[in-house]
Amino acid sequence: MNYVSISCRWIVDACLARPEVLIKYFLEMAIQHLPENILGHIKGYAEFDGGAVFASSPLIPPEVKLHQTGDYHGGKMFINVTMIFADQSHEILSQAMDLARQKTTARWHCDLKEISGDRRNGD
Amino acid sequence: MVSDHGVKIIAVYGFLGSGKTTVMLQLARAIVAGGRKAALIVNEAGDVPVDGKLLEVSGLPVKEIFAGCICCTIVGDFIETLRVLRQDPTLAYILIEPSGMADAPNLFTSLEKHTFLEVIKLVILDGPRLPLLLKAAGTLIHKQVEVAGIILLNKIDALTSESRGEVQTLLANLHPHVSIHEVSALEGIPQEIVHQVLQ
Repeated sequence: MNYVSISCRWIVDACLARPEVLIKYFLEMAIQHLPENILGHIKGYAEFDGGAVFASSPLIPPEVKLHQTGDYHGGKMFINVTMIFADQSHEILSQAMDLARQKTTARWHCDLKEISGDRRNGD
Repeated sequence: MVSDHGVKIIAVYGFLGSGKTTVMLQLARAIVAGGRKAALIVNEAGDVPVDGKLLEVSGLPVKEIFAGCICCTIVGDFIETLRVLRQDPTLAYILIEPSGMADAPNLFTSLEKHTFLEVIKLVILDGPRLPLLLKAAGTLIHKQVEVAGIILLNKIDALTSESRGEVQTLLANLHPHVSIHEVSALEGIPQEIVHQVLQ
């Protein structure tokens, strides 16, 4: 079994969505653009001043679960997402990540500015 | 099980998405609630420490290891981190979470060989996905279960009575000689199971 993982971080200065909505939507959009029934999972969190909302989902079947610490009272957010899947190409995961970013940006009128990206292959 | 000053090493391992971090969090909280001190070592794939962050914002001390997913490349980092942590005589537990794609049994063998510590092995199995995982990653799952001291069959709240019976049969055939506990870690692990793990 060959694993591939990619990770990305973005900063969001202003957004119509609250962090729990934003991170859940992002993961759902990424899942929409991944092959069905693949082994592995996608996880991430939206961090804000005073807390964070964590989200994760497998793909068999997809089910995004959330866990929140602290309360959001506005301000910028940091979005962090990692995907780890077995026997997939780096390009497929990277494309799903990019499409999720585009759809999230369009849906919630927010600009996700990339801070850093790790698009390395697993072993 | 007991090392130089009595620190216990508990490994919480299992396939990707099985619920390892949720279990780690509850074990660590139980340790702290009992007035004892715990340190956590988390091995993650990728540059974004999602699991480590979750544990960290919960107020727990976390050491993160990001080096790859093959155990021969991370075992050195684990050994060094354990060496540093063991210098704290007030530490009662060290909880370690290898990446969900790690060959955890080989990691444990190396850790025990190099540190002369016994690792308490708690495997977390994803109940609803176990039949599929046995087909797709059977060798890995068999190895994980084979070395386990305790098995947590997680996410039972997502199993129907029929699928629960199927999973129980599969599991009994895999490893009938160790404690198997059915839990929903998200809803909370029963205290008696937490105590058994921490004993």
